[in-house]
Amino acid sequence: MIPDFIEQYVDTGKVRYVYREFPLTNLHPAAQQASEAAVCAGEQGSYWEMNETLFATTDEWSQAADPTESFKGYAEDLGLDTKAFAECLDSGQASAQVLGDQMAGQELGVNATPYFFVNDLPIRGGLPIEMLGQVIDFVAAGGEIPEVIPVGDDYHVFGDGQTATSVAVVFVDYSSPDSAKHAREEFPVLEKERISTGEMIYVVHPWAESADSPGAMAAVAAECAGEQGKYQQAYSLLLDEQDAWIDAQDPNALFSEYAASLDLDVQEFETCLDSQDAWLRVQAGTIVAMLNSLPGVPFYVFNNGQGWLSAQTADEFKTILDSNLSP
Amino acid sequence: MNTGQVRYLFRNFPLFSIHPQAQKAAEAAECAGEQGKFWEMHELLFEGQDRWSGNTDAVTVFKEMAGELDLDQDQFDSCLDGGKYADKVAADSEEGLAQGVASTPSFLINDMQLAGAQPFEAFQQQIDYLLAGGGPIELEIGADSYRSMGEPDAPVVVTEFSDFQ
Repeated sequence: MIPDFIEQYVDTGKVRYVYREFPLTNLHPAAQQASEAAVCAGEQGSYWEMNETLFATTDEWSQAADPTESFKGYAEDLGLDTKAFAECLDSGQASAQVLGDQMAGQELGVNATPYFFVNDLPIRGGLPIEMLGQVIDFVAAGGEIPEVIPVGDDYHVFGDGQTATSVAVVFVDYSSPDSAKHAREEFPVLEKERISTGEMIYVVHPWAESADSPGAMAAVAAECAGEQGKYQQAYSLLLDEQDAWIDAQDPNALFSEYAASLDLDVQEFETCLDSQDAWLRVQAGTIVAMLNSLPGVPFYVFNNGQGWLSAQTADEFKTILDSNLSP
Repeated sequence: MNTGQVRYLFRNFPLFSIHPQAQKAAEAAECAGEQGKFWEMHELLFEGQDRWSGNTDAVTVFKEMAGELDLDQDQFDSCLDGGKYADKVAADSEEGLAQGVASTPSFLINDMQLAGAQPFEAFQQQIDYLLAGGGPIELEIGADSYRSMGEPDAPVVVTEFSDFQ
């Protein structure tokens, strides 16, 4: 793991970091022995030193005819008992431990390296430290990642899951003109012709760049309307009125007016605007988008019962709707 | 297996709801076993699945198979018709359920479960692990392990599965 991560998250007590061996022996023939070398250094209390050395010297030992000779050299450099180290490598004890890690990984669904778990949340592949940090902070704050298509009662789902035969999943940036165009032009038609008829469910995942951007405030406002059972109405209203609040001095004041117009309990709504929970739910959508490597928002994903199709702009959305999802 | 490292046990786990003839098939194997040919019938039942699976008269097919294996036909027929091993098959199923088996095939290697039809490598891996003295699989690594770094009570645990190459 990179030193910045150790410094910012481990040394500050935010994170306990665990490294587990998952050599992809088919792709990397020497990786198995390297993992065993790390375990054998660990037996002598120098796991992390060997771990760091192995990552720093990959080019060297992965090309070597006999990588074990390199590992023994590193052990010596680290001041380990070289005889005990060599015995450990030969004993098979280290290979059992590596195998135990691989089997645990397989049971947890690991199928690539690196593969991270932030508590129980799986992350396939490496993430830049800023993104990993975002996930860590989110998990530490008690955030939970929703299913891409939530099951059961969830105000982010419009329509009837019992009767629907197709799904549209929408990652929405409340500050994006494209999202607003979609909400004004395509969504009302979709709502009338497919969602209200029970043919399709429409799932909204909010997306926001940073907590204090107007888009994030709007996404939080939508969550707060959702708590009072009016997510869909707020979704349409906020995007429809985007021009009014996007550059406003105090967007929340406008959102309170919208809440009143939707017959919400305004006091409860305003308390919610400041709550951590609503913001965590917005972040959850943002993290789902990130973990699914969406190229940008808005982003639309469709399932027509046969396969998945994706679109990034409202125009692409319309094209897919007109072609592949026609009844 | 032939190297003597592993003892293989077969337990019946017919999935009645999806495979209505599976119970009788399992009983047929037991009835053959009574005459010393359990594994021969076991193999024939798997190889000849097309002959009896989905066949409402599967029992007749099992009896034909008994003939093919040169079993005492009368003894086999009365064993199968009389449901002599029905209770034993049911007991195997119940034991499987109690051990968490939910699908077939499921394998228990010592007490580790491997669900589904798995490639040979998966068996080899688990067996090698146990033979090498590997203990129970640890899904989580405690703070006392040398592979753990940082405060034991940190609110978040980041686990990385990786290789060095």
